[in-house]
Amino acid sequence: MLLVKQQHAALKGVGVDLISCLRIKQFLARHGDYVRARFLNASERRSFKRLSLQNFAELFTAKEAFFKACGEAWMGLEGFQGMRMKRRSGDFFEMEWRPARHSKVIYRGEGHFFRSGDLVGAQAMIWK
Amino acid sequence: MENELFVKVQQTLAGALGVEQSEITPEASLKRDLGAESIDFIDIIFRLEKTFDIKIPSGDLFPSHLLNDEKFVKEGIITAEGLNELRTKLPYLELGEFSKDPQITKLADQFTVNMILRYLQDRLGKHSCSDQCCS
Repeated sequence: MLLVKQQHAALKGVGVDLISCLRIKQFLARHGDYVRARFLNASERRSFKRLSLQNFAELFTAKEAFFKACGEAWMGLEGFQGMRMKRRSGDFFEMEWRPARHSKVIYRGEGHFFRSGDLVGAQAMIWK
Repeated sequence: MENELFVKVQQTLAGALGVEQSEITPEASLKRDLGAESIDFIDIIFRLEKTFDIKIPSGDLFPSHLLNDEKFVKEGIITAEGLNELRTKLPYLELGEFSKDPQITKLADQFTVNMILRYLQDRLGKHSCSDQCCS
């Protein structure tokens, strides 16, 4: 549905990310406390009172896919915290990212999740 | 003789990346040689913080928003000014051959074990690595 809305716009970038739930489970078991404080932004901390494996897997792949679509240098935790994801109906999401606090550049895009067995993935697109 | 810092870094990286400790040489690129992905970089940051009881601020080890300025990056290529900015703000990063073809998306290939060692030496305020790791 979201794609139809953008059919006349030019594609600026596409990003795809895929992660194993087992990897996420191991990561959360070791760093769950750090993830809440350092990976999630304030809005996500409010939304996810308890961060499930599925929540984090989706959030991580969506942000990573979106970041790849932007074509920016890897920005670490600060980059991930700066991205704002909005879940839409079904498996769709929208994303917005201002890479630096005072930057004029704001990336906006959308994407969707997909799953296969142990894997959770996201595809993100940015339009000009 | 292997020193304490290098061995601790080897153990930390081996745990995060699921590779043999022997594969973790000072020159190894975390991404290109050891197969690190984005979640591994975060895992590494958190493990280093726990192992060495330090906090690694955003932008200390990795470029963060350093390169957002248009004068630093043009059409995906880091400008001469951008390279100088990287050298100044991230002195632990070895640019080497990357300077000849500085595509921003390939910057992560330059994140090496040596970069982490140099950063930790600086943070921990002591020179405790072997000659091998900072030659």
